[in-house]
Amino acid sequence: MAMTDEHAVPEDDLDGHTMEELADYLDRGRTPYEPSIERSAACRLALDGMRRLSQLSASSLQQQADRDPGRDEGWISGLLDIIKSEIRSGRDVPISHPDGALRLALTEAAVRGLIRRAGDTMPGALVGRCALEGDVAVPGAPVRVVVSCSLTFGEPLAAMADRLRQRIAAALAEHTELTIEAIDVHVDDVLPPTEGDA
Amino acid sequence: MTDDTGLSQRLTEVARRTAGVSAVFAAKPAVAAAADALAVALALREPDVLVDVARSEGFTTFTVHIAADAATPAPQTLRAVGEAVRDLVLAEGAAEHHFAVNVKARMIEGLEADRHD
Repeated sequence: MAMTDEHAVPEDDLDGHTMEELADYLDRGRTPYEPSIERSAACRLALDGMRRLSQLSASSLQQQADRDPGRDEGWISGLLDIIKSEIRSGRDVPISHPDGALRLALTEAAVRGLIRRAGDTMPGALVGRCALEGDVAVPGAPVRVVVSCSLTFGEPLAAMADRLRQRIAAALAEHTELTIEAIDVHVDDVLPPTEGDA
Repeated sequence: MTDDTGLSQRLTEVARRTAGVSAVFAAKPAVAAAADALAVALALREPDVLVDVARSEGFTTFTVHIAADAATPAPQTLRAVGEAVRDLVLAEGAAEHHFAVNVKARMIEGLEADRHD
């Protein structure tokens, strides 16, 4: 994956690694095994996002790049910035337990990653920004999920957005105890179709 | 090295073996983790001491950070880890009401494509 210089700056959020190092590690097939990367939650979250972005680069983005190379580079860079910004742990999202001695939680980053995966694994969709609005740390408090996404041209956008909303709702219901008030899906780009989307 | 190294190692292993856990991460703040990394490099500490054991004024806090496998609902995994850690701590002689177990899922891995379709 091509990386720009701005991603080479070491960042505390990546436990001493850089996005460039992670990209190289991903390109090597995550071999040889690097414990300082694999044992870092932040690095693994970033690798996860970069891996999906890399897969996309090989399909629809490649077609788009052929038509408009400058736009492709800027878009990938923008998505990498989003991935970087979302690896911070953020707030705790509590999980209940009858024993008061046990305090269980997901990090906000884990929930954002869950939403991103629910979207990115839907054929024809790519999640951009993802935000949880509301007091996620308070059990039962209403939470609004706001995601931006790109969808593949061909299928009615409203139907795809509905399907994306349903997938996100199902993933959140399975893996969190959040009270979801609404899931707002903003389609900010339309991608050309690929063979894989057919 | 503290006397809790062995306990932390056993708790790390218990967490790692719990169904639904795909990884256990170091729960210590970055600076402390860096010191630990140095200790590991100098062969002063085993690498799998990832559960933080913090004692203060007769109260002990155990902190575990994990990656949860998406094949199991994350709340179920978190509860299972918390209970496994609590049970081991009690089995090793800790007094009830004198400790807390914090378990945090830092990421959820392995969500299959089309799983929710």
